[in-house]
Amino acid sequence: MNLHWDVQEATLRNLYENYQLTTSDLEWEPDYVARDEVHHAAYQTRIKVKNWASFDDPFKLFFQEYVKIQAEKEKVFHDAIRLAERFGQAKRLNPRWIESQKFYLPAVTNAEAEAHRSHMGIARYSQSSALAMASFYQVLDELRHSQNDVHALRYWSKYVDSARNWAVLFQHHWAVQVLRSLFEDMMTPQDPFESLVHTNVALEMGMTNLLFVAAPIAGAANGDTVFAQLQMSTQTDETRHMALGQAALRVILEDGNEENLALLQRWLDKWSWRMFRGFAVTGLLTDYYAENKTSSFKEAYERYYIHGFLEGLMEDFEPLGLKPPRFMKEMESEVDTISHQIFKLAHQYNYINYFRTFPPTEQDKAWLREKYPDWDALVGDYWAKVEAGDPGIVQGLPMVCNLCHFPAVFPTPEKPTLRSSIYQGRTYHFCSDGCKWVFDQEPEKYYKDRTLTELVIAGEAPGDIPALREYMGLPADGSWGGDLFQTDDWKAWSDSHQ
Amino acid sequence: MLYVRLIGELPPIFLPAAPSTLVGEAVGISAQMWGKDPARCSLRYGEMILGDPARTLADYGITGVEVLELEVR
Repeated sequence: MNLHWDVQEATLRNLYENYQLTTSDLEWEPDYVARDEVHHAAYQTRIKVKNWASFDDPFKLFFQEYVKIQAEKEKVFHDAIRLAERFGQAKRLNPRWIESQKFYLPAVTNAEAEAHRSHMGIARYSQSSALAMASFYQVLDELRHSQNDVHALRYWSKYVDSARNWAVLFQHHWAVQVLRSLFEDMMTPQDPFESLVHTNVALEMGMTNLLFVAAPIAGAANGDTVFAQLQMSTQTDETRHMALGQAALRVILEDGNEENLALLQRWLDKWSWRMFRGFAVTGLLTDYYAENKTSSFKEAYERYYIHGFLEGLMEDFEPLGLKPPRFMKEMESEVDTISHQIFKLAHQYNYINYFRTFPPTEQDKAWLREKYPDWDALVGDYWAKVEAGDPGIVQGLPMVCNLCHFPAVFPTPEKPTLRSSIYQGRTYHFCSDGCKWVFDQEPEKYYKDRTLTELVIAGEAPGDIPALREYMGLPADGSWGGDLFQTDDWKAWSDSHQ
Repeated sequence: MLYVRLIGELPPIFLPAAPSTLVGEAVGISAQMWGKDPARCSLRYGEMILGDPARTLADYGITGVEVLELEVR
């Protein structure tokens, strides 16, 4: 007899029994209505599972432990900000990296705040008490993340004017509409369990490591411990969310209901594409803004998405009928080009931006050529012209995808994937097959969408540049945008680091 | 609503023109927006070259939301 293992088994059994006491043992069979009728019909999920009792939260958290763990993480993050403030870290950071924070924080803060609402659908309407409880912890996590993002914005607002205007930027700035449209789509699922697929599976199992591991590693390598700690504090929750998504997906698939499978597959196909488009912006941080580079967007995608998610996690579900996401081929063909297309685009429109861009340095170019052998063929000529004195900007409103809100720049100018659909007599433009497919699946959800370009043309947003800047939350003179390397801040920093 | 794309470049940009706009005028606007010499430019609509500057865009069947292409010789 191994006493040690007996004690361990007994302890685990006690934990499990205690967990049952606070989850499924709290349920009862209602008499007034059937169980299916407990929730209003509008909120009932189409996912039907006969045996939700088989759902087992891998983390089995109790509130006491949850609060204790989160309090420790909060302390570390708030200490990181206090230390950065006390020792003036922001004043010593490379201005290139500061531009990444200007861009990033206004784009994600609202999203974290709203993520808790869509997840409340699962916490509220799940027929599994254990799943509802785990989802409720996730609701609290998302609120914590948003408050930490606001705290980081408060910290940055001492050094960066745009950090004070983040709410207007999120609402109106052209570049942020990419993420706003994604997050609004996530907030308005057609089914409570769609949130499980878009957040826990497509985002957290699939893409989250790009933003919360690869990007903070780049931040730490460039001296920004506030960003590194902010992201890592979030990531430790994401790990629990991934496990939740994986366990719930398994219970649903093992039920063997073909209608469930069809729904899950459609949601996985849609949200994998949506997340790929949205999370491509992490490539700006890793491939461009970081002067001390760690891994490229492509390397991070291959490590975390292909090997970690598709080969590591999703292959487990293939025997249960779930196939890899529909637009994998398109994702793979864009991973070599997407970060470069977006950074070039940001530079072409830098006169209406709240963050600055710059031509890659010789050191950047050597690294980019090594990581992306076709970099010169794709954007080399453009940056050569910029270096030769051409400002490289485009005067005109870009065609913006009516689904993802990226200007239609994908995948390359030689092989543009401009697509269109007609719905109720109006033509909608898309940047890709993926965005067109998503729209065509649910046109009634998206048909009222109007891009900034369309608002300007309709006279609902100003057409002249100074007024348009103010509408988007920028000063009329455009002083927040432009080429970083032409600014006094850059020259001073560069001189002091020769 | 019309957009014009410079061949070899993305994204297309909004072309402030209507189906009744003359081709010559549309070429001039497009060239100016893309920073090109109008004398060296022509517009394409799919496989069709809009070759007559005195005709309207509508004469070439361009009436709705379309993407034209600007070609520089």
